Amino acid sequence: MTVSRESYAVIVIGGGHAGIEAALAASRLGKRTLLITMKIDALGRASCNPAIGGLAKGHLVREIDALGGEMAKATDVTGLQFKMLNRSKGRAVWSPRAQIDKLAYSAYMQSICQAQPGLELLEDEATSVLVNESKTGITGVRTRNGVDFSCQTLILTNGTFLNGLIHIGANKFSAGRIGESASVGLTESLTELGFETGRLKTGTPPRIKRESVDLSKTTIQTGDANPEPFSFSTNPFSPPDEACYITKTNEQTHAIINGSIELSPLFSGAIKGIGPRYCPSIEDKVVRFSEKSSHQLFLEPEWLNADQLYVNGFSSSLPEAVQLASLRTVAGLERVEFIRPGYAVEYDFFPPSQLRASLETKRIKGLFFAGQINGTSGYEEAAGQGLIAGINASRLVDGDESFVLGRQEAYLGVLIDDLVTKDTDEPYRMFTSRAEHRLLLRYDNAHFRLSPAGYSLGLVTEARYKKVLHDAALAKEAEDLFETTFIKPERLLGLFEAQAIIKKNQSLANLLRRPGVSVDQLMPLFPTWVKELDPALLNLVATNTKYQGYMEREKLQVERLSRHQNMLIPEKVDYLSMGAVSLEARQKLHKFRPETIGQASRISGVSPADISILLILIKKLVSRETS
Amino acid sequence: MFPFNDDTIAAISTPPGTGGLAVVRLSGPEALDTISKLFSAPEKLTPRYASYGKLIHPDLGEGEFDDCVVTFFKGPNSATGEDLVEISVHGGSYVQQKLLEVLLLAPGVRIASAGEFTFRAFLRGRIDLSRAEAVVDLIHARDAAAHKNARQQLQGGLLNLVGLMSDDLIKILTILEAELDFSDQEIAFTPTETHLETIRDLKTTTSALLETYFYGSRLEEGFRFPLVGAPNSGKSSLFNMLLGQDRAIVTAQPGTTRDTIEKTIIIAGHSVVLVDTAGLREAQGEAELSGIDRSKEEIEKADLVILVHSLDTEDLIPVISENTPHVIVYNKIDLGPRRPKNKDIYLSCKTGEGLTELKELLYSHVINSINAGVAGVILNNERHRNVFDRFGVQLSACLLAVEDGYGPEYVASDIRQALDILGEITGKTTPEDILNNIFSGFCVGK
Ligand SMILES: Nc1nc2c(ncn2[C@@H]2O[C@H](COP(=O)(O)OP(=O)(O)OP(=O)(O)O)[C@@H](O)[C@H]2O)c(=O)[nH]1
Ligand SMILES: [Mg+2]
Repeated sequence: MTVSRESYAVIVIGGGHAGIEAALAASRLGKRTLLITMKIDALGRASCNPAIGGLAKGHLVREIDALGGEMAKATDVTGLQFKMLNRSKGRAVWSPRAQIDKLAYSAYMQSICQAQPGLELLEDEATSVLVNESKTGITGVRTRNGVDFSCQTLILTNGTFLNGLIHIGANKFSAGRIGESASVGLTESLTELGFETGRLKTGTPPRIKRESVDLSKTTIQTGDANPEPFSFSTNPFSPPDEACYITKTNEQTHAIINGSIELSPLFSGAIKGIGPRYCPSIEDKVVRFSEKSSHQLFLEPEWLNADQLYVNGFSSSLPEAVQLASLRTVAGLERVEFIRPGYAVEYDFFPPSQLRASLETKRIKGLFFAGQINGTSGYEEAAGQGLIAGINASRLVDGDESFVLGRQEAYLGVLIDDLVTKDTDEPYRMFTSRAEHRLLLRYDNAHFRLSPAGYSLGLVTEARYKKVLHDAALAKEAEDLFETTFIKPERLLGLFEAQAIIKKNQSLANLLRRPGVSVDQLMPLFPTWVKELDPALLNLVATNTKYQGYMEREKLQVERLSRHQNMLIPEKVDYLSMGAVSLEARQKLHKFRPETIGQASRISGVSPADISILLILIKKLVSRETS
Repeated sequence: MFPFNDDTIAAISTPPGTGGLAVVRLSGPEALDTISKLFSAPEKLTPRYASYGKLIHPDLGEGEFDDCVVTFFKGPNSATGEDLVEISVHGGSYVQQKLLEVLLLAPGVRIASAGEFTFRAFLRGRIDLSRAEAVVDLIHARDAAAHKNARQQLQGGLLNLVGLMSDDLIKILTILEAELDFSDQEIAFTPTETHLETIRDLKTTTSALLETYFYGSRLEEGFRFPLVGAPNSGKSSLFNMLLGQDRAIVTAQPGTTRDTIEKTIIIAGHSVVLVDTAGLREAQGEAELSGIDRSKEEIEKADLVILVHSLDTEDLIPVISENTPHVIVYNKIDLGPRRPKNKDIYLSCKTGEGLTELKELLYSHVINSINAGVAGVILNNERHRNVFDRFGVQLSACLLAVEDGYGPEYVASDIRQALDILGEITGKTTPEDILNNIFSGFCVGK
């Protein structure tokens, strides 16, 4: 065993979306950082679909950008097609999505990481964590190559690699991703320290040869004519618009799948891990929704001019022959050939009830977990956690208080709060409906919400912060102008339907609040400087104005949230002896060990009455300790 | 037990032994704002200083709240440790209830759970730590009582009904959320018309439910039938006769009854509180004066006033308004043949003539008040009534949002709000519940 003489402030294990953001954040905050990954070539590899963003996930990417992360910029540089989802609905739920060039994305991330001062990259594999004698603090990490690296903080972002097991039909083999070996040993080193672990499952569809597809039988889908970039810094922006192709399964396809259903490890019982209900395999869809005679499939390019396509909607762990035979019943895919079949992968995760909201483990000081290891799914969820873990590892080194976002501040706050207060029984994915303050957490105000934090953390540049402040001031000025500019009825002629019923002078704001009236219709009434505002900013102002009543209600609710939300609970509280608290709540509290009263109140099975009692007992406890 | 937030709570907190004085308290961030909007002299409200004035609100009767003393305590220097307002008014439980109802109309004010003022006082360090256990016990006991209450209500079907109502909203919310979170997938679009219908139906149910409250509260407290009239008209005699026992003192001396006496009898299976009152006339002494005040108050609270006239006394100048249900009884018909018009019942307490007719009249008044309830549910609890009041208002907001073509995220916000209100009875609907519905109802996921 060689011992590296080098000591790092932060070591990150894993070079996926979480690991990259963690390593970049830590090194950008001036911490000497080492990123250990099995393959530097695979840094930032998108192991499943070639897309970033999407509903709720697009919000996460925006927030990552606002806090100084890299994902948004990488997407803007390597995107192949950009589309704003939910465009027919209000802006609170608009969410950007992009098809990406996977190869370019990974290459971009490699070059950024390689160029980052203070960040070192190493090809190796972590096999166990090293802790102090009392097993309460991290001291380093041991690798497959037999080196012990010492560090002040360690961030594990192992994705699906921990004891990864791939299933294709009855065939199963150890692997993290297809063609990449699993990581063995680390889980065991953690369970020895008392960590609890579980098993989850996820799947991926086949990759097919583009030349074997008759694209003329599919429907072409392109991106937005005026695409919006993910990053606030991207300017100018003129991405390509690569097409995707839509086709669909039919009854014949389903018949073949049904005929071989027992060959799927999902149904044979071979897979023990629980898969995500929002991302079911094709065999799941066919069985559970047997009344549907057809399911959409999206053929997506994996990179620019790719010779292979990703069959979105056909995730499967059926035997390769069954996958192929059933796909060949689909229009355009009659002669399809595989580059590789779909597969399911089972992997270890660590139930995140073992984490603090900083993503540091409660058990071992200085040890952080981020990404799929916490039972989440999705690149964006992983990247967001990586960023927060990187920030907090760095702050721990500096002895600073950890950085925790509230549920009312960011989707990232919702994500992590959900993780640490809820039982995970399937991979966790972000949805807009998880955010109770959704109307405040819009994709278009992410920078106003989070840039101040990003700037004071030291991850957002002065120049960019100033630009955000400038925009915010402009927005405020425009909002005020809308409220104070009154328009005579006759000036409304021809601007919008039903204008005739308006008899009195009206403020621009009130006109905008009328059902069916849009900011574009009122454009002729605006002074030039408002007309010339960046359309994205003008739309933000319009949304704030039009839905002001809803926003105010949300803000009021946020304000009313008890001040006890942030009241800290002493670490050594003995919940089990709290007789007045209901039994279920006692057990749940004992398991989750919430850090704050707010967290405690969000654990299922803990009632408001339990919280009332908890508040009293804790107050008593704290006063006894301090007196 | 206590909703976990820092809102403003209101409750009647008349200390025992204060006679005709009612005290209603408000605690929380909205306390000062709320009272300032009602009080005639808001500028006088300085901390720890009792100010005298009127309360003005369309729902408060003319003159009823003219003599009020409002004391404002600024947090943390108050009994609860937060902004606290104490409103003292003259009057009995009717006045208190009325005032509480008006306070609860203010935005951000809700009715306090039992013990909540104490609980807040404790949390803000206004109560000694040694009392911590007592507060815990209080919550524990109250929680148990709430459960018991909920169980009882379940038998009455309230929880069932609220469950069905929530389900209707959850169905809408599930569709809206599916449209929002999975709009990139093939989910059949549901026309908003169907939502409108459901919400309108819920509104109808809510209104019907609110209408049961009158009857429900009478089931709880009994109907109130005061006997009112000139001195010596025979009120106490009739009271005794209806009771079937000699409870009230009867003498030939006018002004015998000085204070009200109440006694419950059963009519058509319902409790009816008969109240014997002091005769209404110019008072001779102070005791009588306060008795007469009480009589007037009884008239206000009455479900049916039994006005007693008699052959040998002056008719009472009618102090009751047209709208107050009443029956005019003309007593002592054994004394002579005079039968003035416009009396409902001609009666003799001495011979018992006319008693059957009177009893039949009282019986039909009770029978006509019976409300069969909504699916058998009758609201009988102020807290529940308050929940449905707010629920109804929120449903209107939902309707407006749908009708005005607001996006699903806004309609969803309104529906969530409505569900949260019902959740005060049933328990909270979580995002997880909605997602579970989506996953079991829709084929989502690429
Ligand atoms: N003849 C006759 N006397 C009656 C009748 N009802 C009551 N009285 C007499 O009228 C007198 C007054 O009766 P109360 O019942 O005390 O009258 P009241 O209305 O309660 O009087 P106050 O309490 O003084 O206001 C008593 O002497 C009764 O005996 C009746 O029907 N016929
Ligand atoms: Mg009497």
